[in-house]
Amino acid sequence: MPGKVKVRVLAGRNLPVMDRANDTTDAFVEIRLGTVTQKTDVCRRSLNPQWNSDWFRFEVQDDAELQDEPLQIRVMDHDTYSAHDAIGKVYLSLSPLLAPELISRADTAPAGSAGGPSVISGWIPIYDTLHGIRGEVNVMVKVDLFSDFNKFRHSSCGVQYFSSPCVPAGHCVQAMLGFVHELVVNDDPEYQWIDKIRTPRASNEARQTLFSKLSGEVQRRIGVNVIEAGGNAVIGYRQCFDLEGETGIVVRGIGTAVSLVRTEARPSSPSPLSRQPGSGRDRDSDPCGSPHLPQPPAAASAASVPAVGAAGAPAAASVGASAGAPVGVPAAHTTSVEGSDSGDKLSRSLENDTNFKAPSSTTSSGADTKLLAQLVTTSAQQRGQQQDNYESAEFPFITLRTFPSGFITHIGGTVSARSVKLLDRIHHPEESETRDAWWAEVRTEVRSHCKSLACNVVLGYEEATTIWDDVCVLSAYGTAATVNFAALGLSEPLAAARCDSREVRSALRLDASLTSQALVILEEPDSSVSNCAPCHLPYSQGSAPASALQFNCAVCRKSKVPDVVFSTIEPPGGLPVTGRGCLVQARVCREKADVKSEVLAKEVSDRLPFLEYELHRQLLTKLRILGMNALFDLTIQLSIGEEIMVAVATATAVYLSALPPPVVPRVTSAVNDSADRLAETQRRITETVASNREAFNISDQDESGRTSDEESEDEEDKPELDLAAGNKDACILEMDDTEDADLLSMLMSRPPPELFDLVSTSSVPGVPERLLLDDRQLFTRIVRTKLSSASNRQLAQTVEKIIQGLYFKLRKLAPCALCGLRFSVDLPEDDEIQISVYGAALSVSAPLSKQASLRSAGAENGSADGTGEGPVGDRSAGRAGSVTGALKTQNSLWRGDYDVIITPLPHVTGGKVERWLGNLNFFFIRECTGLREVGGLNGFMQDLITEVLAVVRAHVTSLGGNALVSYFMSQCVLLPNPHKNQAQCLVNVGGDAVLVGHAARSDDG
Amino acid sequence: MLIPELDIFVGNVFIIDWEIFKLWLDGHECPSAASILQQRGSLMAGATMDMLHGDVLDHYRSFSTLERLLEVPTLFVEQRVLQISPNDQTDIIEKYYDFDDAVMRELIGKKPSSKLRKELDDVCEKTGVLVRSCRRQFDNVRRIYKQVDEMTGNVLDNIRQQFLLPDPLARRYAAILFLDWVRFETHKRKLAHLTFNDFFVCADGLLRHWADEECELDKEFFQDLREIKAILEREKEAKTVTLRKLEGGRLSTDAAGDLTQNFRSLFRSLVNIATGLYRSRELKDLFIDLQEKIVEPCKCARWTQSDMESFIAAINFDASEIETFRRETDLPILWRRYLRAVGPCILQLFAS
Repeated sequence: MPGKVKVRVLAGRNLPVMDRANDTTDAFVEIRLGTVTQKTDVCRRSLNPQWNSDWFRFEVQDDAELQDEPLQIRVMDHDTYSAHDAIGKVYLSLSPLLAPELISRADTAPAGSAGGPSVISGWIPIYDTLHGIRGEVNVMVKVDLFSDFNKFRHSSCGVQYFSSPCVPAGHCVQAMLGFVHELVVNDDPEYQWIDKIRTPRASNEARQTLFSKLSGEVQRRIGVNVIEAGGNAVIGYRQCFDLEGETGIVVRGIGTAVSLVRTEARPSSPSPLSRQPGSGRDRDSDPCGSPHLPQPPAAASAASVPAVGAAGAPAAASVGASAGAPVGVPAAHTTSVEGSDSGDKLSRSLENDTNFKAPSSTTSSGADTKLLAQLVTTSAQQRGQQQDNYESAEFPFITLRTFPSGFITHIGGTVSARSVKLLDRIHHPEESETRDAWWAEVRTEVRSHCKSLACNVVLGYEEATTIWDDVCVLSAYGTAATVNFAALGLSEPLAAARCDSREVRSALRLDASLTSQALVILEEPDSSVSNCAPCHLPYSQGSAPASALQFNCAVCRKSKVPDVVFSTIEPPGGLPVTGRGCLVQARVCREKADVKSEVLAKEVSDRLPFLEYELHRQLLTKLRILGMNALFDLTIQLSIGEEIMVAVATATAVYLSALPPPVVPRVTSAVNDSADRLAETQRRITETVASNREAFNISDQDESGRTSDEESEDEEDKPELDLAAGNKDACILEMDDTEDADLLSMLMSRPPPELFDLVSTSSVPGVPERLLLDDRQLFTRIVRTKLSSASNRQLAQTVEKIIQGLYFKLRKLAPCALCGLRFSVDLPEDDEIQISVYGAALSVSAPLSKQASLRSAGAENGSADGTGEGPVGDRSAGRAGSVTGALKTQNSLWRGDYDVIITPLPHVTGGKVERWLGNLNFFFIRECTGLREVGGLNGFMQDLITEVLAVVRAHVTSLGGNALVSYFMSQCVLLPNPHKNQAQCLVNVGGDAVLVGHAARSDDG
Repeated sequence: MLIPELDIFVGNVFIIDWEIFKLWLDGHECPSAASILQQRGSLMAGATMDMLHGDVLDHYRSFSTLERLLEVPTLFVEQRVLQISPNDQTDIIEKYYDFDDAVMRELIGKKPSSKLRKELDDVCEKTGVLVRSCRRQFDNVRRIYKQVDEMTGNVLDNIRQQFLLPDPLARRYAAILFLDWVRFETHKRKLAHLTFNDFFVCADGLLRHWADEECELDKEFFQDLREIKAILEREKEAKTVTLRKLEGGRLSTDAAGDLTQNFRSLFRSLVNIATGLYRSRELKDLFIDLQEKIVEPCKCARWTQSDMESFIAAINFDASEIETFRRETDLPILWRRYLRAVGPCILQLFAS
């Protein structure tokens, strides 16, 4: 599709003085797209130049260029006699302007009111890699696309990307089309010969430009796959930059291809039900409208899918490290396209199939999606088809972490695979097949782990690389589960039907029989809203290995549940939770030999299994000491340094009511003389467990729903005690020497102070969202310190101290809940460790530990998720355009009105997402040649992070937004050189730009 | 204790810690600020001294970013590098530009030159205010002085608009600039006991009654004031009128006695000061003259504050009271305008 980009440069302000002689600047602007450059006039002698340029037009033949190339705006100082001096640059991604408005389910949606932005306009900081922000430039950018209906197009224009690992609020998934992945490799300009002769600025800019291009290219290629599969969006989109050094850079993208429709007829209409379960804001607006109470146990079995027999590992983490024997790429599946081709505009012709590349082709196309190619329909039969397709796909992976109620039928457990690879020079940048084959192996392994747990999909799927020297560890992990695709979009028509069945019919006119059909199926997920099914084992009793523990479900008493659940997803909505969740972290540090190349690869792969085992053991013990029985939102960070390896697993521990109460860990010792100490330690553990249970409101289980069946209760208790004596999984801690004793004390880390809650999930499990009032602050903490010894204890102390520091730093915001915490660990130098953590501080009216209403929180969660109704009061707001204003006037003091909110969570607490404005992804490089002058490393990094956030905010504003959700910061690579008084830092940030209105909270007590 | 090579904490929103901000404004170095906070009990349970120290460092670093922006408050409210709520922005500007009276007392009446900046150590020693804080206060005055000096128009408005200061603070700065521009003598030994506020009240009065909106004193008025000399011919009449007006116990016995004896010298001093104002030298000495010739003699004679108030009110003759005024009708206008500014000055100096 050809297109025209129009750019106006209006003005600049607060520019730096470039001409020392008369304290001014003669500024002009170069606008560059691809190879075409245009210029404004020079505005002489002004630090606040007014260019007021006409529209600069760039005509582009292929929209691929629009997607790949960032618009580069370079502000320069004119110099008559010598070369012009650079002031700084702005990179603008045009992709938010390429996304068309999504089809709305309701015809009544006024055009243009709720789609993507049509213009980028506003003041944007001018960024220089050597000086940081140097003033701002006011620009206006528009894109006109000439849609030609070329059947043979391979355009991926218009595919929308969402970092958010959930269905974006206000949208509904019509079809989940498959896992998409793409990677491109390129030389890193930093390592090219030309870098020896060009200036640091030119080098940094070449890199930034390249990264930006590659990032666009990966997105575009994924987009092609999505469109071929009949989708229009990627959700749970993750992009990573692997800086391999000498061998180049790899940009990888993974996500979940979907066909997405808007659900809101008017922005003021009932809020979307496709919003992630567990988000209670829907409920807030209608506190009494959700009559669903926790389901009686009998109802729970309704949704259970026939369990598939399979030899499964215990429902804990199943880990494996493969040193990389190539695994055969599965034979290409034959594509089956649904017969009922209704001429939907997203349908594709089968002829295109010949153009598809095999999974191992040079561009690593997302092979799965085309296997799943199908029409965008909402028929339940086709959903069934979709499920089959998904399950039989090469990689049945879903990168989301939050799902609609009823979608997950069973959680199997965490599956992961790792592979250690030796990097070699990429001779032809176009050839990415090596990397593709590597990832295919790892994914295949994950899939086989998933199958062995009798599960059909992997949820919350993540991929990561760890690079040291020329060795690269590929990691992939996720949560094996069985799912019910029928539940995907159903909560939506259900609610719509309640409000106005006429509207539904007109909205879903794709299939005449749909409405009735949908309503029939509705019964099923609806009745399972608050069920315990996700906890149940996905395999039948007999097929499980003898060592795996099984219990009767404490809620329904019918199905079997494991003793513990590890998962990488958010707690499914409706799952009964007792008490509150809290952060749990396992940290393992191991020495490794300082070797190179093959020997190093061998060394790493030898040590990995031990690292993982230790990690798992720590997690399990800590979980038990917390008195809880499930882990959610588990992420694993692996880092390799010169002499040590570190792995950090972060998760949120929860007490699931359905699972048996955890066993108090027992201490044993082979050494006889330590009986006293043993008893003392045992007492301390028991006390800690008790105090933790109290701190997190884990009341005695017998009160809630357990009393009904005394007999089975007894039966349940007995085997626990027996098992504790002989079984490995019953959590026995050996304390044979002082090191073990140390370890024990480390395991009993302090719970957060009363005023704070700490979780990695997007809300506090077990706490109704209405108690979380406002997203007060995004905080980032980066610490780099010496690790005096390679011991777990030292590492734990370092991390604990950072966490303690967070409480202190945020003391003036207390009481608050720190949510969405993300840790990353790097080992940049021999004995140095760099730990970054970021998260959202949400304000609460009173410490959560004190709020009495928490006891019934699990029930409340269950009743509201998936059936929550939209804000009733909003209806009066009327037509689209006025809604924002109307919402604003409700409370003029809400900070969304004057601040740009950035949050790692996929929603804005206390706000309501009205428009999704595009996915942002920035790669910043910053260099400093006067480290002491800017206040050392601390000053340098504080300025950098502050400025990065400022640039991000400005881009959000220029798209017409006031918040960035699902914010991420990755690749914070800091290379200090204090002896030369220099430092360099690379940082990758991004998220989804949105417009949020202040949620009406009239019902808050 | 191992100090991390890097330890930073950055928020998306700049939430200012007013307590630490105050310590920073007061010129405390980081360690001293941390120990003050510790003494105040800012350490929660579980927090260590190095956490507090790190916290103060984080804040101090962002304050120095803030300080660069605060040099131009109009840009500061426009900037978006630090995301600060509008209310906080206003408060930050006000607090940053606020000053200690004791420090400002030392700075008024002097050109804010680099030489003066070097003498801030003495100011620090004298006032007990830390030298970093003195420097900030001096730099603020110098910045406002330089900027407003080059501008035309209403000085008060210029200060308000260029520095976004609230009215009371802008008024104080206007007085400071005025005292500097005229170079009033404020540092003689005899004036040493006066506070900044004394001078502010005096300068504010002079500005209100004798100057235009650009803080330019009305030179024509001073020329005209020379005519006031004529009133000295009628000194006896003035005395009679004054004493008559003060009859009935309006003065204490001490003052009443003193006034009958020394009316002539007091009255002559007042008139002489008025007639000399057209000479810039004497204008500069206004405060010292008032102090030496009016305030001190009366204090020696044990006048009370209310004696002085009554006296000033009594000599505020109108056209009907003095023969000279009846003849030359512009004289009473000049005289009353003169007293409107000088009267409150005398009272302020007398009160101190």
